[in-house]
Amino acid sequence: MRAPVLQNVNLSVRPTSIHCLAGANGSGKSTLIKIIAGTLESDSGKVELNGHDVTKLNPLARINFGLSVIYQDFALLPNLSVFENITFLDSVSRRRKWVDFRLLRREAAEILARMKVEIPLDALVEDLPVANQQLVAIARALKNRSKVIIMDEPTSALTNREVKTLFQIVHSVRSAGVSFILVTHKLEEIYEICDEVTVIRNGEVVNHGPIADFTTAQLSEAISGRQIRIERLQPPEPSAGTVPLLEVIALTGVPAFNDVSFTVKPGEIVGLTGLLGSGRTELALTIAGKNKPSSGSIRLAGENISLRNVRDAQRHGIGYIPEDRLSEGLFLEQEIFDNMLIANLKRRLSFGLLDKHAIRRDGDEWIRRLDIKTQSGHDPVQTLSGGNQQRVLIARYLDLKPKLLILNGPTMGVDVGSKHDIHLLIAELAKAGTGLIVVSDDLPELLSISHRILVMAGGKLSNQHSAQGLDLEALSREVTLE
Amino acid sequence: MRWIKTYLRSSEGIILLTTVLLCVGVTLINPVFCSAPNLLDLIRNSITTGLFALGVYTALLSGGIDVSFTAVAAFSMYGTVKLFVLINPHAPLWLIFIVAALIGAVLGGFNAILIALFRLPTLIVTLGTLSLFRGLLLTFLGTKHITDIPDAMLQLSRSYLYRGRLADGSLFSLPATSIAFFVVAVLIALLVRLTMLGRAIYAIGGSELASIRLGLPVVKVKFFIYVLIGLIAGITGIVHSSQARVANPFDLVGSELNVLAAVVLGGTRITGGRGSVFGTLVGVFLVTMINNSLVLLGVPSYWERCVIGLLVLIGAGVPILVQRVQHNRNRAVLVTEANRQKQHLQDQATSDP
Repeated sequence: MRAPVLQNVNLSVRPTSIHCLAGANGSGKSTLIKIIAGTLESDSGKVELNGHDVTKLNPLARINFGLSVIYQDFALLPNLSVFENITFLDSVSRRRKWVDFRLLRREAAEILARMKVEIPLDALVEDLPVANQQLVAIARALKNRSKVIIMDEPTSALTNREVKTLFQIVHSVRSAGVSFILVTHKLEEIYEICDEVTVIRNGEVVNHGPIADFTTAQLSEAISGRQIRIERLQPPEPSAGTVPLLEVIALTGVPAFNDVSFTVKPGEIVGLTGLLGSGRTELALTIAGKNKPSSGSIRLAGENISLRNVRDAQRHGIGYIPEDRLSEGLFLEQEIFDNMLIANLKRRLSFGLLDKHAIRRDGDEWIRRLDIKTQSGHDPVQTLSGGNQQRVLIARYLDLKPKLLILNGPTMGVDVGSKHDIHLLIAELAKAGTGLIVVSDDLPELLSISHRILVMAGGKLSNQHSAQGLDLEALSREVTLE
Repeated sequence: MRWIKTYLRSSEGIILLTTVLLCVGVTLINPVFCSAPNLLDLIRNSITTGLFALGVYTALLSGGIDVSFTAVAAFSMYGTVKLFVLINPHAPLWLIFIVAALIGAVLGGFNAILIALFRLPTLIVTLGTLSLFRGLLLTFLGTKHITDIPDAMLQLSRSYLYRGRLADGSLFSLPATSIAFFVVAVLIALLVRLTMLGRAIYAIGGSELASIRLGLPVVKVKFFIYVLIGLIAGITGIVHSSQARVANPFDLVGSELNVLAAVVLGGTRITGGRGSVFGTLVGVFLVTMINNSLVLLGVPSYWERCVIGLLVLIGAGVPILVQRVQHNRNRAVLVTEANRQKQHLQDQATSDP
């Protein structure tokens, strides 16, 4: 018999409160949500909404009792308009047979006005930025008279500023009589928005109570099950005289960024941050050979290089680990080994055929070095947790022995414990002489690992800071205010 | 004016423009094209393709596909004609249509069971049943042409909505069967625009997973779609054989790709969720026009296939490219708007005590 994923979990949410469900990847949060939503059945126990026992009801019936779950993919209809998306669920649950576009449009406009947001009603949802898609999903829940809205990792795809907007809206919706359950593992957010918190670990509730009763350290320990100090992890800075590994000179990529110059020394960790639209991702992609610069030059170890594509960049020793590991990086159904070594199979040929022995040997070596938790390297990547998947991707680029490694959002969607391990790994790489550029929204992360932090705004490099002695508050203000 | 520009950039708009330009071009070269006889002839020749296309349109809209409809039509047509010839050659027209539609719906129901209930891939299922239904037809129902079709069908073939006589004494006409085309087109348009069932078809084509999460009866909707296609195919079979005044079991099968080309040309996405009845009609008209009118230009008829092929590539490819560019631009605009609005909210928040 298999061990239960959840055991004896109690969770109660007060009316008009914002309740945080915290836990590391694989702790059972998602299973709990599915049981509440009714898409999974529990072996024992009850789910009650407003005092009604809904345990026996299917998901749709629970929706009609005022429960909405907003999954990470929002479950929107990309090919339909904003107003139709907002009203669709309501029309379904009212068992409407006919469609009156004028009525739907008016209803949707009312809801958005109540939320105090402006989204073009006739725009197709697929044309909206992620943040607005999320607001459409919230609007749909309100339209359906939801009393409890569960949001699964609501901030994982948003920039800092979008998170602020989202939280303002959540607050105002809450005051109108709706409770939220937010699933997250980001400590700052829990403090910023939640009234109460329930922490689960390994399928059991380890702690719960009003947020004021917890210190950051207690909370992070409850989530990860181990003590983690927020500490400065960067290795000693490379000496001032070192020849730069990467020099970016007046690099311009129309229209995203303009006249950007900076350097990275071997063994240096450079943080790169900025809002959505600041051009930071485009800059990183240009250095990685994915986008072509309009003008300016990139020098690697003192030599001008021109990069036509990603393979070109890899040949020069530049590795890029994409932000969205699911869609851009990993082949989820394929073996861990294959995912790790796909970029460098040429080195593992014997007589022109793949050398299975070498692949196993090198793959196992990476699993050991990066401490990837798996039964076997032959398992598909999708069997791993988020943190371990990220490590598989990192292994792939380390296997290319890059001189310069660019990591875009290296710990996005990764729990506190794995995050720490990835940070240690980055520090270790720097110690071994690799130059690193870390692109991230997570300012505490950048402060803890980088030597220098570059801030971009409106396509320009607006500031460079030495991370030594830099204050989080000040940096955060600078990034959000542009 | 802006919506005209936007419209002309959509697949439907591009095809409409192409069709109009082609009409003008052909007329300039050979004025006969724009004469009433030729235009009515075009409509007559679009009826079969058009009816089929309306059915296939619903399948594509839901993200599926159907290629078995010609076999369904041939089977129901031949079966119905044979049945009535045997038992009652004087049966009324409505009864003939109902029997054919029912046979079509049953065959479509077979597709529907495999697709909706067993969740098999639509192309595989309908490719299989295309062959299966045709095989059953030829093996069990017969291979002979039936020329003494029921009276009512003969009657139908001689009924016209409009009839005219040219100066040289030759006749031209709009056949009564075009009513079937018109009625089905209007019903399908009402279905997809005004009913929740129709919106559910769009929704499933847009995102099946999201539709399931919204509690849409995805299985039922899919079942409905394939039964509907079978039903339309049954009606089409009778319309077609009435026009031809013969029940030919070898007829119809083979025209699937032409129909699919018409639907795709009309702007319906093969990946689902996009497309309109009007676009489909334009696509049908364009394909029929090319099939019929290139001759008027003195183009050898083998070129028809090339032209249709090229049009599918251009007509369906260009809009996708245009939309990709547009999509990125829209996104940029919406992002700036969103940022502006957020700034506004923040200002409000800071000014509030």
